Amino acid sequence: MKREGKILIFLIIFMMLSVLIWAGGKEEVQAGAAEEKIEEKEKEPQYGGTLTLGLRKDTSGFDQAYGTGFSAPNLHMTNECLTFGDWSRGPAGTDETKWGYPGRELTYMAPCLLESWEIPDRDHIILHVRQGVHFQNKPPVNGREMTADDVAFTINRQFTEPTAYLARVHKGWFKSAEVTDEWTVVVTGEDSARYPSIYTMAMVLGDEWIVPRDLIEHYGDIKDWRNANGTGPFSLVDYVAGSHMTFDRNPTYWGKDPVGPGKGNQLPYLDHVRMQVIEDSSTRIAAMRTAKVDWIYEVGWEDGEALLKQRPEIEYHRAQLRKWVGLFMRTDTKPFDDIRVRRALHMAVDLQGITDAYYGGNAVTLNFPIMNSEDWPEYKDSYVPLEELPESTRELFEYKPEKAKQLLAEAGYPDGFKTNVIGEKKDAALLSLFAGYFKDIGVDLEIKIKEPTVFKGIYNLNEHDQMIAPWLLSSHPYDFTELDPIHDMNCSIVDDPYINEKRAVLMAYENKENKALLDKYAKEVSLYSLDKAYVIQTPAPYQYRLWWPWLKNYNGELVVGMYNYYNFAQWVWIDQDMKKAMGY
Amino acid sequence: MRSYIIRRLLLMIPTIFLVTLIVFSLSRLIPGSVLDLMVAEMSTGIGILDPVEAKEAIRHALDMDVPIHIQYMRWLTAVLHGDLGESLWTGVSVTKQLMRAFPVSVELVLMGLLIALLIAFPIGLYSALRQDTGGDYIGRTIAILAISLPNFWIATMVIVYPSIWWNWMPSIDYIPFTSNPIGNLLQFLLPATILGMLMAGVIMRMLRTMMLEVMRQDYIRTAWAKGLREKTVVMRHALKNTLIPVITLIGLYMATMIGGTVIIEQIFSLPGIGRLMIHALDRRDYPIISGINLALCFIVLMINLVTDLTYAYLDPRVKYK
Repeated sequence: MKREGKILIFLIIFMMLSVLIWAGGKEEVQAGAAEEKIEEKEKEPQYGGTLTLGLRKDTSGFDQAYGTGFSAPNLHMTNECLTFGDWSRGPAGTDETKWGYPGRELTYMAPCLLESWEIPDRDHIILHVRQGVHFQNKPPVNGREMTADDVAFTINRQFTEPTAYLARVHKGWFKSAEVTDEWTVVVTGEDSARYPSIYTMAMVLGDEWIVPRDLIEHYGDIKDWRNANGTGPFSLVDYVAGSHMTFDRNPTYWGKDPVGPGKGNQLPYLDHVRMQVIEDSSTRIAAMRTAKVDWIYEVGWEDGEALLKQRPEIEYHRAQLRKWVGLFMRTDTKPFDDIRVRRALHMAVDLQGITDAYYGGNAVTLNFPIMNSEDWPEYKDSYVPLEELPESTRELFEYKPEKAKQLLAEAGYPDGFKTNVIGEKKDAALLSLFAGYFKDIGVDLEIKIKEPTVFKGIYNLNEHDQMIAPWLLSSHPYDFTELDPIHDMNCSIVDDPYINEKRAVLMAYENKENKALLDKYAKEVSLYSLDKAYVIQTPAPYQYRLWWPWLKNYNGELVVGMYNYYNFAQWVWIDQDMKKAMGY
Repeated sequence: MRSYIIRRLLLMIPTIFLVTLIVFSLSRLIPGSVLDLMVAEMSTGIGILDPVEAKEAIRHALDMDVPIHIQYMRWLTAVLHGDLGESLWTGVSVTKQLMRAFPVSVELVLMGLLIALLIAFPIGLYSALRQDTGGDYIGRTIAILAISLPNFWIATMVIVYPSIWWNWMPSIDYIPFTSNPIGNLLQFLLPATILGMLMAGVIMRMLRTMMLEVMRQDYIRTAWAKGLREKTVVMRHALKNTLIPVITLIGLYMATMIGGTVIIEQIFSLPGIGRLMIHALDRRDYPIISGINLALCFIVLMINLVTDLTYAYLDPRVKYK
């Protein structure tokens, strides 16, 4: 090799080593500098600044009539519902609820676009519309005041437009929404077993994003983001599909800070909110690490811990993911119609072992049918911890393969049996664990992995012949939708008279305010259904919500209301001095 | 030549028609339908759902309750009028979405190609002209690395490690070319380089091989014998003949890469056609799937035509009648 070539190779190797050595020492220097600069003291809320949220997905659209409100985060900035979460009852105030999950409970809801509401009977809601609330100052609405007519128009549209979620799922309840005077709307429905008022009324109050009538009459719809208009704290000023959305403060917003050092202040504090769409998880975490975004959520426990080690100044909130994988067994077919078989399979699995080994201890074993989560403290009275379960139920969560074999023999399967489970690719490893455990008791589990869309088709119509392993969103503690005979989430095809009777009380409109009764019945259903082993639940892993410390007045909230994702933006503020001091 | 071009353009018509038939039917034959997905999404809300009833309601709302051949004729008629339809989920025009996403991917691919050529040509030529020297070994090593290292791995490393070591990451905020051309080009530089690396490696090796072969030809020996300088021998006599297979390669690359940018777009948060296609496939958004495939088909046909015409330019022996 010529001399020049040798020199070149030597130089390249030297440069690479230098870079590696230099980069390895960089982190400590940065942490030290940050510590010197931070001056932590209580401060009055400051106006100004931009909050950048790192989202996993782009919006599903700008018009609730063409999809769902919960998958359109822009609506949660620019528009409002009739109610929203009472911020003062969350961590910023009395801490009765964490606002970590969406829900249908009206207990912690505050009037938003309403002054008040009444539910005189199960078929009527009377809405007293708030006065002095204005739409954004853009044509054709031009900042006019919202009236009862806008509210009635929106509700009627959502229940009659064929593409709207409410029309597809709750239309059976709805009859009409009529304006009875300038500031009053009466919504009429019809309660039934299939369309219980307790659901639809909650949707009317908590998931109707009010739009101005003249906007829809002028444009026909709000498919174009430029036409978005609402009463919300921010207005949408820029949208690049698949990249970001930018919102500016709405100067005519009606809301005031309800609690804390800024009580009574005009909201919002932020000048801008930016929703950055970052689909790749590594990129999203890198963006958080470099403060390109101020906040991210649903970060897995491994990534969360690694990031906090690298950037210990980042603040966090940890709670279970509200979703978990369940092994649902068809209880209307053999062999799962026999409780001994179901209990045997449950005991054959070392759930605690999975929590410890597969999730590194970063998961909660008992999540069904009620989830005991830090994000749901208001339902702790309906939850029974693992250690307090009755003996016969607790043993299901203990690893007892010998007893499992014995139960199978009693049920007529001394040599085990063959079965299958339909699952998704992302759960293949977990299902393999289950297959291994089942094999030890003679049960041959065939894992059938389906492409996600195909899987959803099978799951929707319960077309699995034996077992299915969906990721289920934990239902509301009083709903037990996974055990409801007419709900598609009931993948075990449970139709249990005891559960049905208790659910009827839980779903009864008259009992919706009686928390003590609801907690009592929820606990009873929970204990009963656990003992019946209708579902083999898997541990729910912890996930992190992470934010930089300059995001103030924020304590890990996610959904302040029914489906009002990210609307905490209207109450938080940015400590711009701190951000600068930290070098960002 | 003109009649050849016209003939090629006319031949595109039956090809595109066949493609419309294939993309329309195949996308609807993918297991799992959009109806199932829409029903599943509604299940994540609250309320009791009759999935059968909900599915039929959605089928009717989306005009999917007519026979498939009627759906195809309606779609084709609209396409002939320049309307690719609307997204089944958002109702937004497919044409609008394609016009937004295509320039991003095209820019990424073109920049990737340009960077690939800027890297590959000097290194490939040097490697060939200085065969078996240290420089040749380094060049060949670079080419092997460029081919063998997966670009999605490189992209992830480029995102993750600088963020840990230097608290830096590339911009993830898409800057449209029209609003800030310099910012846009700077943003695309890194992803385009990573995208172009595979192509750079392949071109380097192809160029080196072809150049070595051409340099051994008699007419090149004659050129040397005439006393011409190396630069003249290479650039005027050897390079053109070297380029013909390279042009084929570039044409193939362009055709495949426009739809193959999805991973780079995903990692660098670029809203291109790759991401749009993946989302559309995930959500079975048939009009978008069909629209993208149709547009890609047209682009591939045009690229093939341009490639063929380039041969005629490079090699005077190639004549199209």
